[in-house]
Amino acid sequence: MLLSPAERQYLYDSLVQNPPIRPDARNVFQCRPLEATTTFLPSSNGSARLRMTDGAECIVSVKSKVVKTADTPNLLEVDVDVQGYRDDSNFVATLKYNLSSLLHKNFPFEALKLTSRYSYKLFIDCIVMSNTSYPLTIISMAIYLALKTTKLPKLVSEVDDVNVEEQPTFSDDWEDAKTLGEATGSDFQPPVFITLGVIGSSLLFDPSLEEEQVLENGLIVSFYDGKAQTPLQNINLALNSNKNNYKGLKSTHIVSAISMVNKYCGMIIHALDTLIDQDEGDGQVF
Amino acid sequence: MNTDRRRILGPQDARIPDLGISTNANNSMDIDPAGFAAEKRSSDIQKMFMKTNFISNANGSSYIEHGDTIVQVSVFGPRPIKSSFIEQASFSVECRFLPHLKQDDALDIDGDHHSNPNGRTGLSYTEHKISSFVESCLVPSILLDKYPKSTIDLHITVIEHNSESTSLTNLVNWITVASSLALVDSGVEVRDIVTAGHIISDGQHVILDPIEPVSKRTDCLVCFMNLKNEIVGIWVDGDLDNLDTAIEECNKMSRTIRGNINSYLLST
Repeated sequence: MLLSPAERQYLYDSLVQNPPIRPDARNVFQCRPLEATTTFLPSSNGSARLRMTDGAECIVSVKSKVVKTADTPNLLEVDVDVQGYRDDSNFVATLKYNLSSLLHKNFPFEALKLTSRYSYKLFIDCIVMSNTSYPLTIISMAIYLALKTTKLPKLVSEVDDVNVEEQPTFSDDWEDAKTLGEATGSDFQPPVFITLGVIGSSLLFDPSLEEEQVLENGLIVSFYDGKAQTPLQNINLALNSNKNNYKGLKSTHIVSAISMVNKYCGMIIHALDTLIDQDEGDGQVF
Repeated sequence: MNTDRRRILGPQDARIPDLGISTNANNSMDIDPAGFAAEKRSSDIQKMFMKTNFISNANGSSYIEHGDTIVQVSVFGPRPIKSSFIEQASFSVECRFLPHLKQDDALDIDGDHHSNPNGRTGLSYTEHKISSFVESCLVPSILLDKYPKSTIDLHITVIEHNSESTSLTNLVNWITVASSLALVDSGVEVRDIVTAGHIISDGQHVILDPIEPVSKRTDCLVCFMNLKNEIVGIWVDGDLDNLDTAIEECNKMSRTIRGNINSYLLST
């Protein structure tokens, strides 16, 4: 919904207050409520569906394939499909670029290694069924849930195949399949992107559609391994508003964005983990 | 092109005061020719060549050579649109690599390393990313509401880019500079000229305008509107430690470039 100039001014004035007054009474570091289901696609290694209160919905599926490591430059491939946008549009291409670079820079690739010759390659397919605000956060959270619940079959053949060429063989029993966390032997937490809106001197986590229309700028910060990471970029979040308010940033904005992400993202990750624990994959979506 | 676009122009015989013109205004950066590559000091910015207003059917154009990078930008607009009324100009950017150039990105997922192999007309992901980054950098600087019912289109062509030696961020740095130069050349009203700085650092040492692959921890590209020191674009890869210093160094570099652009524009 596009706001009228008067509505925009009202919203702007309330958001530049210190502390900002957000239309849905959220705190600056709060994300919108979301609902998620995991492991519901029977033919995928991992899957997640995430829905937001504003009607945004995203489905992510993770599939795997055994490849020869030497022939494959990328062991991760992300594809994004947004309803209502062409695949070659700038909007979709930029989302895809950002998500790929996030995962390529922050991923324990050793977890995908099978033998000295073979690896798993992961295909992460994201479909945004509907979105109102900029969908990067919702896609990246859905990818988090899907990767976290991804299970890969257990290798039963020899690990060392340098001298003897051997096709990898896998256990027939899906109960033996390991999550990526178990494969790395650590608490694997996939990277996520957090979208921050900049307005006045304040930063707002996960801006809604209405907020995006009055924002002065936007930042995307990655979070992995318990702290803010790169890629870190600024981005124009408002898609179809006329960019009336668009302004430059101060370096204090960037510094405080990083410290806010460091401080609050742990909680977001914790909430997502709790969500997985509560959702005991009964395969029911509705 | 000096066509009137509903604004008050100065007198025809106006003379520009000879102020602030450096002695080597055209061949801007003050480094000896031998200061290339290996002998480049970490605080130096590599020599560059710039030229504007050479494409006659574009409203503004610019050309920058910098090391192995050659970028050409043309601006078309403000052009009237036929569809329904919009209260301010819509601004669009399209970046293309010439077909023979290898795009350095490991992220070009389809194993498609050429920007425009036969049969493909769309942009690659890298090109899309650069386009949207440059757009978000320049939008704050343009007075879009001066141009209702119109569009301003910016076409970037990367003529030469060595992905082996020059990082993508360094390329984007010069693309941004070339784009704002072309905007100035087109006469579109802007608040400030956007210039950029690119550094890499290993935690202790900072290298401005890196032109060789160096093992790096932080790779930081920041675009500024220097008048009010506003950051209009930021693109950081690697570590986030000492980001303050990195931004500060980028600011220094962008100011140097700005100084050179100023003296170039005054002397043309």
